[in-house]
Amino acid sequence: MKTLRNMKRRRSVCSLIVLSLVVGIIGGLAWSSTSGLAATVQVATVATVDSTLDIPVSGTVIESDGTILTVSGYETINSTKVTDADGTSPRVVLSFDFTHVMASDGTTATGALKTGGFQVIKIRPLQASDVIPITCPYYLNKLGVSTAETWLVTTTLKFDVITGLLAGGSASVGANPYLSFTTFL
Amino acid sequence: MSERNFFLRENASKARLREAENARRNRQEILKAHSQGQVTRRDLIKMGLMTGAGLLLPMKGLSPFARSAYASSNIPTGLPPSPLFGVQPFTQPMARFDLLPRHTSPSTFLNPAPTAASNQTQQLLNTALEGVRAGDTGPIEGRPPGAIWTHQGFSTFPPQIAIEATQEGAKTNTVYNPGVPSSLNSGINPATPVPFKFHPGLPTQGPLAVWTFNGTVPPKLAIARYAEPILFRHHNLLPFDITQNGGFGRHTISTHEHNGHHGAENDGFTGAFFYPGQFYDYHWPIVLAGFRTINTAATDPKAGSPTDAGGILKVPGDWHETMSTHWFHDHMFSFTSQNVYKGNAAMFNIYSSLDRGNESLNDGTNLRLPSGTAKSWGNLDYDVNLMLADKAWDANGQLSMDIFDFDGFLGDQMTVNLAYKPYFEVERRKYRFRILNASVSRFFKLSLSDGSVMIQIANDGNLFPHPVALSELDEQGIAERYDIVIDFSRYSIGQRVHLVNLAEHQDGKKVAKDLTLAEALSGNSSDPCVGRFLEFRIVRNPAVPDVSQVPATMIPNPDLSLIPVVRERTFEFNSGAGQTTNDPITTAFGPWGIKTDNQGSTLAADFGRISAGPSYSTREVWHLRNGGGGWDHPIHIHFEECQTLARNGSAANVPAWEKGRKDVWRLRPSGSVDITLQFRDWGGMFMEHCHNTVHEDNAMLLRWEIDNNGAPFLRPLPTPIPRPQGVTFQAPDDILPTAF
Repeated sequence: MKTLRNMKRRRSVCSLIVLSLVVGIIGGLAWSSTSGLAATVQVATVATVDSTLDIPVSGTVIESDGTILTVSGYETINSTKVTDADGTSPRVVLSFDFTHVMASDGTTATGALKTGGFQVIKIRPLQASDVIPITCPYYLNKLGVSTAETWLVTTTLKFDVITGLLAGGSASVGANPYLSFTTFL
Repeated sequence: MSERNFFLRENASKARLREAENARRNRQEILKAHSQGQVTRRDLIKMGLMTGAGLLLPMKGLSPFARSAYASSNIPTGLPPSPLFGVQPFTQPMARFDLLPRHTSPSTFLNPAPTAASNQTQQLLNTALEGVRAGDTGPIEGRPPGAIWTHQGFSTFPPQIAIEATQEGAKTNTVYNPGVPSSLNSGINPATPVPFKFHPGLPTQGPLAVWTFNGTVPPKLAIARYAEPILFRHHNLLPFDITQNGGFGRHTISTHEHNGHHGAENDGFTGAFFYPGQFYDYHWPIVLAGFRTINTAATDPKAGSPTDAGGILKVPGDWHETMSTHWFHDHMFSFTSQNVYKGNAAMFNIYSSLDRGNESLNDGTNLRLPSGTAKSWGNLDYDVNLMLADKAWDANGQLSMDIFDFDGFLGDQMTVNLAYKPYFEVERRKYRFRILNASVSRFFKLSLSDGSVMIQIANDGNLFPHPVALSELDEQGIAERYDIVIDFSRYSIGQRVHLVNLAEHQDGKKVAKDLTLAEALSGNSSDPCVGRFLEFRIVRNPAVPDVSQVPATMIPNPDLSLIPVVRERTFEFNSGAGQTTNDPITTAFGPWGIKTDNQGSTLAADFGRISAGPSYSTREVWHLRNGGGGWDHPIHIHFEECQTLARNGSAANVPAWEKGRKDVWRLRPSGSVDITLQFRDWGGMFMEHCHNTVHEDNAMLLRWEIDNNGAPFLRPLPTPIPRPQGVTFQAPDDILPTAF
């Protein structure tokens, strides 16, 4: 206990010096401050709004070897609008589920190409329209995920910005354009 | 464009950059005083510098969010960008982790020999330590003394391997051992001394600027295998004088092996910290959870450890609990963010009969994940640890931190393995990457720059039941580990592809927006850590054929269906916390806190308070709730891996990559997660907290304990109070009514 008291006393002396320094800084700042802003504590006013939408996905994709894939099915979008603090813009937590999107190369030998239940979750600002391109893995189930390649699904979502509900959407599918983004040394 | 920019752009006007630099220096003085214990948060509130909620008041010349005199609108001042001294991205090779040496016969290698109970041999104390007078003595080991903190199972699992490391200031590394040949380390010659720099063109870090394991870069990697208990002796060689911290960081430390299934005395409890001049012996038995009750005769080869001869040593326990990728880091009460940011972070690979670290052994048990073939286990050739962290440095290029936004701290420069935006040379074959988010407050969301496939195989060190093909990973919160496989055989020699961060922050609260790949690559984000940060250079065909696999089935979840749920608890993570205790050592005051079981108010941390006391050998369900307020929180529960039951109340909301086991969950804005966990094998006091370490330090953390396993455990456990002269104990400050 004696040591603890000594610690506190020593800290007090140090604190006085440091406090003086800090007060000096603040004193120097106060007169020059042009800001009268007060810090605002954001209050937790939690509100969420959920909505779900199935969007048809169809189109053709030409692979690098010239194979033409016919893509069909639908993606499921789950949206949760979140307003969790006063004075902040609402966000939407979007879940994209491509489980029901598949493709065929027109032969019966290879079987259907599937997405393997591919999902993506994205947090985006709530806005009336949002265009979200996502590259989507696909592969033959019998060959496994190691063989997966990607096509691009571009989803356009419409929101009612008042309620935060999904109001509609559309999707298109095409080849992955980013593959050309790789560069050579 | 963002509503609010945390950092100014490099091309901001000189006047604004000067203004921001002055503000940073002013804040640095306050941070320095705070980190050295000379002013408290209460002092700062009294002086009118900070609100009760912990926010720095937006005063010009002080706050990064005050309106700038040079701005035409209400644009915040921002922080000055870290100077790059002309350095360009992707111009340095990424050094792979530095292997910590493993020594056999710990009892003869270590001096003094490790002991089950804390070694209380006295030494003369340095008078620069706080509270020490000339002639004072204290124990050489900082582990609390007595039966409660004696290593559990020390005679059952005697240490077989010693790993010894220091914590100390920056110095040149002259003993770098990447564990792989230079050809697999982007041509780096390990014999060349490695100065402590984030890039060869950036200034050398001073010994007070960074404090890492052994004081050096690259960051350290420990490797272990099941049934080979480790004695990790951690020496604290940080300055004795608490004020010699370069402006931030605390010289007392506690090392958490995240997420080891060990006794609490080895967990790095936040209140079991140790001082400069002391060591702490951590005993990591490396056992499968359930070893006391499941497969006790050790008959199943899937519950096993790799032998040097390429075989399997069967071990007791549940093979479904096999773990792979851990890390260890500081857990010092109220100073974790500063100390981890300053360099107290290392990774830890654990090998098993399933995850052997050898891709060619085909015995029906080995999963043959990408690794290598030269050694019977633990090959690192194609198994690469990546530690991602955002950093900032001052005008002199020295590591800099600014905690005076208690929402969280963001750096403006991306590092991988403590190297600024490096490149890494790869062969045309499969690689496994063990990715750790070691940031303070930043979340990542990773994609390849060509949008192609990554196969995620593990989450928080737990191999999945089934691999998951992804073109972008989920957000990765602080402390989460994602193991992925990338197959570079699809590229041509000479091609380059990048890892890209899609998660845009405006502040340390949460991700503001998950960008599309096109948005992230556009260069238009106001967040300087968005975009490309690691370049893979495809340099050659593999020297030997790639025989690695990504099996369709890896590790199914443990079956808990027959284990009754004896209790449910609810933890709500909020701001605006109150405090009911006033202990000078154990109590923290911060805007953050946790409300337990819907009882009373949200409480700030006190490591002397017991918030939950689950019974030994039971299973519970815990509900983790984000109380809102505009934040996300990555919540970490120590001790044993959990299964995710539901998100926002529904099992259908649990994505494929969270269907395995985990130990950190991002709650998401206003979200919730329901998990289930068991309490078995070991006892003692553990923690649950937000791993946005600024939140954790201020003070979103609670203590829970398993303490009714009979002698030597008490109910409740006494709280350790460390001092240089030795650890004393006191009764808990508080026990919540629903704890037991």
